[in-house]
Amino acid sequence: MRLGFRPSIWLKLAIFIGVLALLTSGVLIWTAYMFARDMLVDQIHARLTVTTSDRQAMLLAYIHQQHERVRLVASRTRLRQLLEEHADDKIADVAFRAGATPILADAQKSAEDFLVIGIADLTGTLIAATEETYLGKDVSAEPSFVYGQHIAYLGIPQLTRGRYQTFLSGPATAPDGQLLGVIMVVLHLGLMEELLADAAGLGQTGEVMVGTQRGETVRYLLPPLHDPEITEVPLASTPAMAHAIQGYKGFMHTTDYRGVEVLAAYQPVKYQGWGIVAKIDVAEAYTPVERLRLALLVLEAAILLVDLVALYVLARRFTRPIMALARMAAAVAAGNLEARVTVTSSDEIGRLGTTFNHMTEELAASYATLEHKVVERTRELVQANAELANEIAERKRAEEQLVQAHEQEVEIGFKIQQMLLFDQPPRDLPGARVAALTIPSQTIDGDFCDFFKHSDCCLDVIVGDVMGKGIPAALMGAATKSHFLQALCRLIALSPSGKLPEPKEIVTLAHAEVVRQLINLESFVTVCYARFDLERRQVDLVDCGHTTTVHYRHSTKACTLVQGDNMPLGVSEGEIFEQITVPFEPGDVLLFYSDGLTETRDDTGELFGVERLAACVQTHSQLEPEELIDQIRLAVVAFSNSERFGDDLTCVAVKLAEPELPLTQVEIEMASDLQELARARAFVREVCQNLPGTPLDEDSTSQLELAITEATSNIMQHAYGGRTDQRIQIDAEVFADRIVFRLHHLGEAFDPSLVEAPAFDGSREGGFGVYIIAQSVDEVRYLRDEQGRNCIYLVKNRQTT
Amino acid sequence: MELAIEKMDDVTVVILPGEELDANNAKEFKGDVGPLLQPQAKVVLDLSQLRFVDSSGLGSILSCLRQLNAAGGDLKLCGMSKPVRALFELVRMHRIFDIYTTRDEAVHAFQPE
Repeated sequence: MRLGFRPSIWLKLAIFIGVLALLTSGVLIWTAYMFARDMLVDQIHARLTVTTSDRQAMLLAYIHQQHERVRLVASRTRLRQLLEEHADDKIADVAFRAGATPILADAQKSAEDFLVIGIADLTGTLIAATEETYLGKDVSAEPSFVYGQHIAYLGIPQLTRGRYQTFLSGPATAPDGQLLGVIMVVLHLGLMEELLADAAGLGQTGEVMVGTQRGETVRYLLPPLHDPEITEVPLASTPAMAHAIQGYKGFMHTTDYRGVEVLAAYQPVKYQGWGIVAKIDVAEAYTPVERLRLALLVLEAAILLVDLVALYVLARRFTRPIMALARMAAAVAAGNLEARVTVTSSDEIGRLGTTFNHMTEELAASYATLEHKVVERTRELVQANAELANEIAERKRAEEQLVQAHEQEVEIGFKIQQMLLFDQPPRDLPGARVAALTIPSQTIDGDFCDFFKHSDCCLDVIVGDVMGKGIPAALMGAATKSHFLQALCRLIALSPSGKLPEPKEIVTLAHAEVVRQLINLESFVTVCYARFDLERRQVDLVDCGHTTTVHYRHSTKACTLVQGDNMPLGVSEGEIFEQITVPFEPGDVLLFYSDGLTETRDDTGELFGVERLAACVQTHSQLEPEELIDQIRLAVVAFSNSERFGDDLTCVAVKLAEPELPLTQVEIEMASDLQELARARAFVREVCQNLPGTPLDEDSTSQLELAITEATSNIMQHAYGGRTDQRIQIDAEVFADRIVFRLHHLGEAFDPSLVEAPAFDGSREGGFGVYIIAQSVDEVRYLRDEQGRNCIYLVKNRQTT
Repeated sequence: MELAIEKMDDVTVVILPGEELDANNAKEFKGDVGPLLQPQAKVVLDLSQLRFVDSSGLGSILSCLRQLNAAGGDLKLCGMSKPVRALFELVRMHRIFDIYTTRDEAVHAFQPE
């Protein structure tokens, strides 16, 4: 990238400057060349023209001189006399010749170029000559003879014996003008040759040519310089000579007899139609301009080279700081804000460097500011985050509190139900086991149940459901419950024989008490009041619009549904309630429940229903009531796929059993005085020693003594707080497989879960009591008896025989 | 409570009267035995008369041990009946006390060999 950058800008500049220089110098050179050539051509024109004129004048002068010379010869008096005498035949030819020849030879003496001088008579026969060979020669056909009869005349040069010569002629006349003969001179044209051959100022190729027209050809009077063999050429091939012969004067760029390009000046000689041409080869003529052009081209190349070198240096000077800037920019981009360029010049690039440094400083400054801001912002963010976290934590706490509050509310509802609406079923009923379950819903509901144990053989179970929800329903349930109790008490009080009132009487009376309130409140209550008579093995049932009761019959292993036809409480005043009587056998189960149980729905909206409930009871009929109810709960939970229900779930199961009667039953009552402990032990020992069947072994007896002593002293010291005026009742029931002791008292209830574990390392002297009791018997229960007293219930198993 | 006390050399043997030591008389026993728990005292409690001890009784005997140990003395037990022994074992106190079958053994245990 870096390597490619430098040639790039350099190349661009080089191309630009190069093209510019080429164009400029090209135009200049072309202009100079054209100008120089024009000047040269003008100069050559002038030179050739001058030469032509000069030669023409010289040539003409030469011709005139020859004419004069011939006239001079002809004008010799002696010669004319001789000619007159000859013409008059006064003298013979020989005499004439003898007289004339010395004259001619004399004339020849003074003129070297007169090769032969002769005299032709009027018939054209040479009658005298300086050379005898010429005597008698007939020259009548010669143009020189023809013209020479009248004027002096120079003929066309002829190449004879390697020399250019011609006939120079002139008339020899008598003084009266009578033609006597013609002087014929063979003239050597060496002078003329010299005259024309002198091409001074015309260069190597320059020459001067004289020609005359002969037919359609040009005949050169003297041989051409470059090719002496050529004497005649076609007229058309040498336009300059043609023009001259035709009498024109001028200058032209043309071709010569060789076909070579020439510059030629031409003009007529003004003698016998002769033309003269001075010419020079174009190649030579233009040599100076060509040389100039070459010099210019070399110069241009040199200038271009210098340009390029200068350009390279300049470009390097420009690009180096730019490269430095680029490197710095790269460094800045890479994060080095300390990078600076060294500024060495004050030109634009220098200013750019300065600006760049300034920019980088600004950048560093603003970066630092930014960094600072980022740090600040980060800190703010962290703070905000912390605040947010706090807020979230607080919100979470609030939500938790809300959930807690809600749970507390449910808990309170549950407690209300447990305390106000639900009674614990009696557990000490010999002939029946009773279990109750209630699962409170999100809202307080009006389910309630109650148990009245009249005797070991008689138990009333009341299960009810107040229409509606919330506190009013709960209070209405509590009120209804108390009305039942009240009605029971009043009816018992009114009974003269102490006979237990019938359930229908109780319900009718209780209804009479609550119906007005219920109607006013536009509420009603469904109730099932069941009385179990364990002796007669029957249940009297008043069903007031409540859910049907499930009755599992042990004998048939199947469930039947029991339902009365009374209206719910609170529907109409003065209602008389009827009861139905259902017999049962040991092993039967009766299940009472609220509609919350059977109206639980699954995901598809299907009701749990009484059939499913009956099937569940049937399946688990062998279980104890607590376990049976737990199975029902599990079934409902599985069915609805939820642990929470929209309605209260209330369920009471009564399982009837063969009542088991103790073999012996004894009791003792004592004051809450520690002195009575010995009596309690004596009671225990007495019971244990008088057992029906196998007597209890000594160790077990000792353990029972210990347990009863500990329990009794606990009641005295803790439940009664050391008061000695309270009562403690201990009763014992002996069964075939166990001995049951019950310690009844009216002191504070005891919560075994609050007791500390004993210290087995001897570090504490007390705290062993509860542990000792638990270790000494087979079962310990702390409960409330049917009379509402607190009770410690101890069971010691005995070996069965 | 009338404690029978016998001195055998420097060992005090205390014989608990009556057959029972329970919540009823444990405090009394503690009060009566207290003066005997002198510093450096070597005490043997003879429990052979006792037929019954409850947790309070056991607590009072444990109290004796702790007092004596604190004062540089020592306590040894002897003559435990079966139910009493059973109680001690039930609450692991047989590991805390030095228990001997007879009084002589207990006294002898104090004698340096």
